[in-house]
Amino acid sequence: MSLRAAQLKVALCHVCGQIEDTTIAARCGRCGRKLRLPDPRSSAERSMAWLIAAMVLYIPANVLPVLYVSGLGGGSESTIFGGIVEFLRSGSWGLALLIFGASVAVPITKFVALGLLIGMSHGNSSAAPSQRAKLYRFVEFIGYWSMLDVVVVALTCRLVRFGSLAAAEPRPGIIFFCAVVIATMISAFSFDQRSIWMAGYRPGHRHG
Amino acid sequence: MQRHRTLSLQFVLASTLSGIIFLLIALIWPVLTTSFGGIRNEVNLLTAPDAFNGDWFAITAYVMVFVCVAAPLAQVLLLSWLLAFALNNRRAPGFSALLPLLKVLRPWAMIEVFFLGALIVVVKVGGWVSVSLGPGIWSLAAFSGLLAAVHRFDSATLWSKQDLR
Repeated sequence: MSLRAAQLKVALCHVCGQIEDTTIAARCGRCGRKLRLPDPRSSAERSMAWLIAAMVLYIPANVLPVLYVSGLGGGSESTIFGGIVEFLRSGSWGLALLIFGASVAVPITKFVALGLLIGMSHGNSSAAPSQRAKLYRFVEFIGYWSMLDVVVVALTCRLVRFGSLAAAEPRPGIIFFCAVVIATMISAFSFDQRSIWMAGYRPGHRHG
Repeated sequence: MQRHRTLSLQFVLASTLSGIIFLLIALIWPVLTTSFGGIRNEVNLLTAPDAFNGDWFAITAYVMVFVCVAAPLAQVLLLSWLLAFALNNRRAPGFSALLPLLKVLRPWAMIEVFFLGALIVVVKVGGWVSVSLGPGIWSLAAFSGLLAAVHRFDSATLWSKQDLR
């Protein structure tokens, strides 16, 4: 049977990692921050709120066009998926796969993984904690690569400005896509990793 | 033994100082240049967010300035500041506010993403017009490499160094 930090009445400072005795200290003796005790339920709820926002924003991010390219023969708008298809048509399989990874696979993996982690922590599940911790670190690591499409659209629009010969402009889908990336990142950071290891522990019972 | 396991402060400081120079290069000189029909277009780290102008697009522009310019620059400047003092076994002014800030900034600094995006654009836009690489793209590559090394340094160890003084 493993002991919880709260049962020993100690807590780790979330800012500098110092261990403090919670019976005498309300603030960390090293960096002066208020000691924040883990609260799995509220961290899961905050994280879930950002995740739901991200999932909702992901719909317009994919339905709306992200880029408009015009040339002598007229112009056309493309969505994120359209951009991937275009790379496939021109034979750039590697790049199509890369963009598919960053813009489709990463966000959807994050939705599923974070949803699972948040749900299990919220439900106080004790199943597979070390795998869940690994999954969380993976989600944290892959998260920011989704910004790739925003960079690609920005650079394309700056580099294709040849008046009536050829011109590229951003379209509103990219605003939603950028918002999805930010919301999933905030969702991941709002999630308290410690809650994975805290099955059976309820805040408020820690001195009981 | 311990010294070989963690990066020396000197090495990390040298990397962050070079990082500042590499970032400045990519902020001043072009990363990519296109030319077509006698017209030239240049883009670098600082001008890329300009692509998003107009009411709502401005939000995306601000996000890009934050993740591609402000966060990485703050990251190398802050770490250089803290390490310059730590090397003399002193705590830098603002230490206990700046070190946590460094930890918060880390996931928001996306130079590697910008670099990869630039490589993709070389292929994408290269299919329509001629694209040439500017000095900025090499410095972004160098910065990405350096930061990978710097990230192996656990800046939280500076907290225990602070205990000494």
